[in-house]
Amino acid sequence: MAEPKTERIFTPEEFVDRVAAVLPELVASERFRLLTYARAWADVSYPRRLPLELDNQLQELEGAWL
Amino acid sequence: MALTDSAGRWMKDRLSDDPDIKETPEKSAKRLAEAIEKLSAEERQKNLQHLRAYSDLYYQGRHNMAVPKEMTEELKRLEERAQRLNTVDRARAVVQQFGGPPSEQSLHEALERSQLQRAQVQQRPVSVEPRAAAQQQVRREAAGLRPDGAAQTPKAPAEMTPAEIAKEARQLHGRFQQLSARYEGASGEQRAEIREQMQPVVDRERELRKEFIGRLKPEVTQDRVPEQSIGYGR
Repeated sequence: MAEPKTERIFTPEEFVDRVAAVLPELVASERFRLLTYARAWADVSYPRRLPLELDNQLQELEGAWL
Repeated sequence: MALTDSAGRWMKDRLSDDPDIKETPEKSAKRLAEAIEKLSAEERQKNLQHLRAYSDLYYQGRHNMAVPKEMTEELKRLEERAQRLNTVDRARAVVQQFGGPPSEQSLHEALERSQLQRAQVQQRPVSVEPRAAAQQQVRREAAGLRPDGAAQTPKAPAEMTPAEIAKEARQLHGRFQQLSARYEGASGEQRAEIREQMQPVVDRERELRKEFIGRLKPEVTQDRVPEQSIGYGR
């Protein structure tokens, strides 16, 4: 079981921005992992409907890196 | 007219004695809408199918009329809501699997794992069994290394002639096809390794394509590393 995190939790928008910044430094499997994580976190944070801007941003990153 | 239809249905409902029809589909839809969040994905699907069949039975069976537009729209809304809730349920499981809500630590861990993986690839011994040696050769080529393991600096696309670009693109495509063929019959762990080998091929091909946009054969420009499947997506 994962250890509880003590650091501040990212909002979905912050996380997507930070993921976009580190993607070039990652190996393919970690890129896939972080992009999946970012979309999942966005979906969990917005259960009714994903904001269009956030969805577009994720789709752009997925299109460019996956 | 709608009022008369509605009154007619109400009257028929009062007089009918059908054990399969106990309430209007609208009432059933309302109850499902209230409970849908608490149901599992399977139960959502089952209840939606039941409601659709019940609605057909009520309108087309008992009242011999088409299912009203409002009811069809309500079913569509419920279907979309169920799909979204299923996606959120899967997303919740993924977040849990990745260690809960993301923080700075999540990014550090990904960067560390990437560095470690790169270091492991570089430290692999060169003298190995023939089959493994052949595998390493493919890996070295994919990573842009010479057969002796030394780094081979790929020529910048801007300095290449169109013929050179086309030749290298064809070679990359050939290499990608070899890797794709191996990927098809590979196990989960091998697949991750093959994806790693595909990435530099695809990256280099993308670099060439930018320089030579629109002039490479379409099949040469559509190589993509297959997505890793963990049972969650858009």
